[in-house]
Amino acid sequence: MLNGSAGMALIKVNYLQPPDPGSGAGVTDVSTQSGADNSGNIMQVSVQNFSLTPLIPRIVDFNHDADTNPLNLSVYAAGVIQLRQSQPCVGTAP
Amino acid sequence: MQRQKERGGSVLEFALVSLTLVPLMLGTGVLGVNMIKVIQTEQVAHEAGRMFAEGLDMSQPGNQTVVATIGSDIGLSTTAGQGNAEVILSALTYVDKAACASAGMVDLNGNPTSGCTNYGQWVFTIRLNIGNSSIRSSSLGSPLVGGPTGVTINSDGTISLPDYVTKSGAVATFSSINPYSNVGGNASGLPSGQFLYIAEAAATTFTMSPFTGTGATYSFIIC
Repeated sequence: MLNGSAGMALIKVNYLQPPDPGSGAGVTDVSTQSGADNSGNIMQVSVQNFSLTPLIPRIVDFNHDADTNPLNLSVYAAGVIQLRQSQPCVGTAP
Repeated sequence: MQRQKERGGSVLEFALVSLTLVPLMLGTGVLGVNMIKVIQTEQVAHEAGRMFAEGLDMSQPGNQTVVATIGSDIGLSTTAGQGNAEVILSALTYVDKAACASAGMVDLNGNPTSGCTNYGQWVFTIRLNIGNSSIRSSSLGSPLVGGPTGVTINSDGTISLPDYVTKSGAVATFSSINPYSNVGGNASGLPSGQFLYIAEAAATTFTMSPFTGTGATYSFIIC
């Protein structure tokens, strides 16, 4: 489903730095900074705006034309980076 | 004349069969949507539980946003009482001699005193809710807040050692693991002082008339 460069471009990897304790602030996207893959940061992997063409037109009611527009799907997963010898890599995928 | 009669009969047959087939087709769709929701609920519980167990401070709105992003498809919101889903995060510990000792409630022989009222019980040490807490209550129960037996839940979700060792309001409905049980000659359960991190996720199910209901999908993970 995510073949080729177009498919690969939909896969995003973001590194998020959690807020300081008690700060109430949001997470900071540090993907472009050095040390983004430090332990304690959150690694978020997502597929964003994957376009799924429907198998058949969707008929919601008889007052509107059948809907043939593709569905845009986004899915996310995240985890805290643990302290280990080989940190996850940062940069352009090989 | 004969063919017209047969055509009328076919319409009648179709109408009769439709009474069964149409609800059956709609029901298949509803079931399919809810099966997807179950998988999404499992995914949210799994991801939230892992991050919670790895030490991420889930009381921070920023960290809750990361969980809410994962659960956006089931309607998880970071705003309390909003949305169509919830995540309940609990940390439990077993009150053993070491826990009583930490609270200074052991005698000279190291045995728990009568003041260590939760000795031998699983108790809450953290409780946090993300999203709409009215969707489903926790299978572990909830810490009782206030009153002489109730505990104080701090803003970061933690319950203090004196509270969870002495207040009956901290006791969880949980007995699945006994740190001191002996199974085939081997000690079963966790070492003393360890915590169980439990994430429960629930979401409202998709309903369509006549397939109505007030159920919720549910999933949990113990880390």
